[in-house]
Amino acid sequence: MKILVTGSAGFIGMHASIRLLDAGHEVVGVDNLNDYYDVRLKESRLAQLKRRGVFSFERFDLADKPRLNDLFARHRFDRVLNLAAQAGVRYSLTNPDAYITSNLVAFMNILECCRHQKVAHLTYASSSSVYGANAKLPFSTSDPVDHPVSLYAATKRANELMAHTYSHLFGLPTTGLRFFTVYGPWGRPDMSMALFTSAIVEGRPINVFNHGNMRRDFTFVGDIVEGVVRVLDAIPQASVPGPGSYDDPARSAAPFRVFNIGNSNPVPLMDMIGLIEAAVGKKAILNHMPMQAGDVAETSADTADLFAAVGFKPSTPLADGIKRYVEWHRGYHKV
Amino acid sequence: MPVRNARTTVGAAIRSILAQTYPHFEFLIIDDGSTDGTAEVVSGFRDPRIRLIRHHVSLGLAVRLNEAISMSGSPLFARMDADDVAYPMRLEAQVEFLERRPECDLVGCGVLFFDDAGRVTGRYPLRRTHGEICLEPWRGFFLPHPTWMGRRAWFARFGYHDSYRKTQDQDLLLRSFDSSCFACLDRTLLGYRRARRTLWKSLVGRAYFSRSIARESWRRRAWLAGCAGLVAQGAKSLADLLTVPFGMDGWLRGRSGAAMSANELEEWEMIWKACNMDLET
Repeated sequence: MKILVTGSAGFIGMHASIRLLDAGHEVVGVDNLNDYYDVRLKESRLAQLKRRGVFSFERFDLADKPRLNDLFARHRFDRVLNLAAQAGVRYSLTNPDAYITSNLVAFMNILECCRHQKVAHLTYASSSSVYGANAKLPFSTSDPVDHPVSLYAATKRANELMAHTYSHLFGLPTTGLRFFTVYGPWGRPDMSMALFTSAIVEGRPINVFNHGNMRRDFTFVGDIVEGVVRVLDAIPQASVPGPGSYDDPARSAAPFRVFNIGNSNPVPLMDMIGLIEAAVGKKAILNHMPMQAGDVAETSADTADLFAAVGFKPSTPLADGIKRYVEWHRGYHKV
Repeated sequence: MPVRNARTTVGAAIRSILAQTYPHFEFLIIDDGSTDGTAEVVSGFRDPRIRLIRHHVSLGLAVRLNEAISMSGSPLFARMDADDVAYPMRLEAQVEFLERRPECDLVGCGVLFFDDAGRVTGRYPLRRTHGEICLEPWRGFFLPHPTWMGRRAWFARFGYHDSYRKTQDQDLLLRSFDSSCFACLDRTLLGYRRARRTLWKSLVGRAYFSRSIARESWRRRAWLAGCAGLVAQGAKSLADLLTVPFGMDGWLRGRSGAAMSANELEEWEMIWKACNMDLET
């Protein structure tokens, strides 16, 4: 199959592309390589892709509609995997405009192209942050998600709603994946795993928010990619609308699905720090900080729906994943 | 924030810092031997984050900045001048940047110039990336000093040269640029009070920077670039001699930059008003 992967120089985009190339698919990657974080890391990830399989890459911004139209005119994609986005919760407090352009305008352009080219299935990244202020754990896709606490979360939720509209109006099959705190080799340098590892290796203090009183459902990138690849082929089907068709927020008569993809095993932040200390072989110096705006205290994924649909759910233990992360971190940064 | 005889402007500067959306900071104000009652104005502010250190002799900006660096207990260190006004999001945006970009040592932000009446007079040309900021190191760096926020370890490693009375910043950048990473946020987050240039000040500045160029080009064996840099400073001094006394230097330097949008002017207006409220009372 020929698959478009947007955000292919990104963390999950690179891993998903590798996996698809290794399975013999043809991958076309798009990324604007913006400098939200160190561009050299994005370039190194792309270099990993260029050595494998039938991979071609185009550098442009998905908000550039004519460029995207042109790309879809030149290729017939069997699947579209949208992993491009402006990520980060804190950045959305100081740079809200970037989220409107990258997460709303660009996503609308993707929807339009998929609609007109009659793409068989659009799979796109959503986020566990859509659960916002929800207190009921674990988070289920059947729960209402109407109380986002960051603009990032609001744009990701908007993506799901936009996708539902296109599934309903034009019969475009769409699946949204709510990722839970993804980590692993080639991970983003602005995420806690990378920040903590660098600081512990260099003997600098680490900022621990909310006095470490937080739990995260850390999900290994290998598990995420396994789920993504399976979901690409689990194309949602339309059904005849009947009573109850729209009772569950995650279900619809339109060809539309939303899944959680997380480890279903929330780990206290201090345990995660302990595992990094063990993998690095050094103790962390803690600098306690209050809770950050836009952050939530705990995340945990209910993955029953995902398992029922594709027969897989993430399960890599955090200790194993952290070992593999730290190994990569030391090799990449030569520390 | 080193202060020296800034009684009329320091209030607005302090208010603009106390109004920051990012609240977790220690505000070190170092009085460098003021004789006009500046310290009394500063003492009038009752905020637990302010720490005023009074000196009765003036040793200059570089000495006071080094002192502040050694006294600071935070991983990040930000500059502020006693006659400038920070936008409310300045610290938040810069902290966010330095946490997101661990490879960067120092980050500035966009600057607009204003006069004593609070009128906008132009803006500092924006250079975003390390490459753009350091395009011509031997002719100077585009990273306005009062906007700096960086890692304290970086400041401690390179430090300011105590003997510099002017261009301390350019000297520091010239010593550090090839083993550091600089960046500048592409949004305006500081109002910079621009006083009229005097011939003497600008010539002294050029002399100090020439000293930096000579030392650093010698150390790096960059003879050609160093000579070119010195010739450029000489030529600029000559240009200053011919234009500054007649008030034509602004035209020659061309630093007014792109025109300001109505939104930007309105935003500045609000910030200026907020920082100068009850200044007279």
